[in-house]
Amino acid sequence: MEFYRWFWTLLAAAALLWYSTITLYIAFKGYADIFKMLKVLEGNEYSDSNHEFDR
Amino acid sequence: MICRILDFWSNAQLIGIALLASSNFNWFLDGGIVGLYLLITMIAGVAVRRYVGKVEHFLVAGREMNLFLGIASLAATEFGIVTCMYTAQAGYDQGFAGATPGILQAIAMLLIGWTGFCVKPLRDSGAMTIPELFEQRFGLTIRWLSGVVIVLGGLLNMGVFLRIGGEFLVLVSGMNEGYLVPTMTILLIMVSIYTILGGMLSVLVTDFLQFIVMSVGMLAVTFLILYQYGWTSIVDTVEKTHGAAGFNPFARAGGWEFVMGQLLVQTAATLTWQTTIARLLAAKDTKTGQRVYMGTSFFFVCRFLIPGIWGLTALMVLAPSTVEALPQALQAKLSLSGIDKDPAVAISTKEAFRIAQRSPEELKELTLADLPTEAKAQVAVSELPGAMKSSLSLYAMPYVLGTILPMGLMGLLIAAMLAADMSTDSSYMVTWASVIYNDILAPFRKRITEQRGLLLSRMIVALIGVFLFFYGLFYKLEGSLWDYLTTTGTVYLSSMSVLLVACCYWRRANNWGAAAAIVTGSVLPIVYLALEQIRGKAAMESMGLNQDRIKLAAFLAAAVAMVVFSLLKPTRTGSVSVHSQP
Repeated sequence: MEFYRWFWTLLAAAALLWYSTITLYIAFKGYADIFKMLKVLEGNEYSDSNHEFDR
Repeated sequence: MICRILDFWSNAQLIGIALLASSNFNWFLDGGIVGLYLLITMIAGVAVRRYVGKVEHFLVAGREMNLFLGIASLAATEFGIVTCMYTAQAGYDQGFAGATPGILQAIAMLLIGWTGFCVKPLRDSGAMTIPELFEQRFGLTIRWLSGVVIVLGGLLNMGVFLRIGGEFLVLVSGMNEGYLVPTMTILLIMVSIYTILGGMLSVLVTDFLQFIVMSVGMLAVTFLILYQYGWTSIVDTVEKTHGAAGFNPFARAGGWEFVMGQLLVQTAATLTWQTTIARLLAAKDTKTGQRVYMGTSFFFVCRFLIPGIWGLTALMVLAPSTVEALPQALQAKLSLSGIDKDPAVAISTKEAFRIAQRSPEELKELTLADLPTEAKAQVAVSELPGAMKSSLSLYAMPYVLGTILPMGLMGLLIAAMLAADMSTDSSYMVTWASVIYNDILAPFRKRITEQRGLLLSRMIVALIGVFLFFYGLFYKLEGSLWDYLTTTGTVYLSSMSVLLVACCYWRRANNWGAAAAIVTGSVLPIVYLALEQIRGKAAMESMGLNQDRIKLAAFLAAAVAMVVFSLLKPTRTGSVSVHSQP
């Protein structure tokens, strides 16, 4: 039982640590990704708008 | 207009405080936090609509999604209120072992992202949906049939999201249950507005905001719980209530069936669940898609473990043993008011939790007029003990959070859960719409302009919203929420995962095998769900049938059908695998 208690304790600690870190990291990096994506799409905005869509 | 809004808030506050509320929700502080979050989300979601000029922008964001936005979006999509409820329920019912599916999915996602198993050929093919890839190998009929099965399983799965989300919000905030339907409606309308206008682009942008709000709220609530109750108490509660089975999933009865069933479901979901795959297909290239998978993999442990801790806290505060005594205590308290003398009176389970918290003095003043109209809805007082026990594991977590969280943090929790729910709903609406548009309607739309395609896609999203509303109103959930979700998911996960693996790696696979796998993989879970609704869960278990066994049987049947029927079809020379196509 002691092994399982330690296993879940370490896993929960790792989950909270990882989640806290990734939230901060994504908050900065994801913001830049959005602007990059919108900029590219804005450049393509006026390309062909009536072509046949079927593949 | 302002007067009406103030009236609404005022009424809600009065009802919340005077009649029912044991929640710490404060309409000004907590309501302000929630309102601010909703305002920012709506502005961001609607603002990006001007970038949507093509169907490809609407359905897969022009395939311009980068790594970190992909991780945020996938994480936000795969965590909704419904996720929070079933993972907390798993924690309450099974202890830490309830988080096993999360660990299995994390391993599956890491390995699939790392090796590119199936997902690399899928993304390289340039398809917008999985059925589109199947057409390249199995023909148009299989593409259409796959689309139907995917949408059927996906919509049945998603059908309960809105109601469960509304129930969580009503319970946590201490609102009158009469506000459940208005809450569901407002939530759906807000999500629909930005999803219909901006499609996947709005989904990605709002997912990013929602990921931040959701994560901050979840972490803050978890740290507060740990500070207030202590980790050791939580672990001790699990040991005392569940014993070894609370830590080790194999120690419970039917443990191997459960773990094997979950392993198959989680691996299949990673490979074929359309909302997950949509992030791979929206990624700017295959490598980015694979990195999104690897980067998000550990989130699936958090997704089960963090709300699981909330469920364990609920177990500590509102243990089954406490609740067994509660109905008697409740009966005694109701006797004080004299309400139980009226045979017409019945009280819903959730109201019962709240009423049970009232002091004898308060109960003496309680009159029939004070009870909400829908208090007659669900359970008669005489049937209360059984009803409370059966729904306790699902509703204990929001009820307990509603009473232990302080003002301010309550608003953050509700904003976080709204964020989680809205991101999931919007993403699911777009992805199922993409399959309906791209695959089910494929034979019927021969030549269509981008503008008409865009209009059609938006109309499909709106129709999915209407379906969600009515299904949420009328479907009555039987048994565990997680079981319902995985069984409805199995309707297509079993057959689609078999088709995808065969399509990518088995040269003898053909349309005969594909059709047989689709039929066998979907029939078993659908028949089981129908029988469970008609005969009840207990009757099914008495026949040796349970959801774990049905899942295993569906995967096995689909795989066998694929192999047998593919081999039965006469071979033709020149059949090629997806790998060999440009």
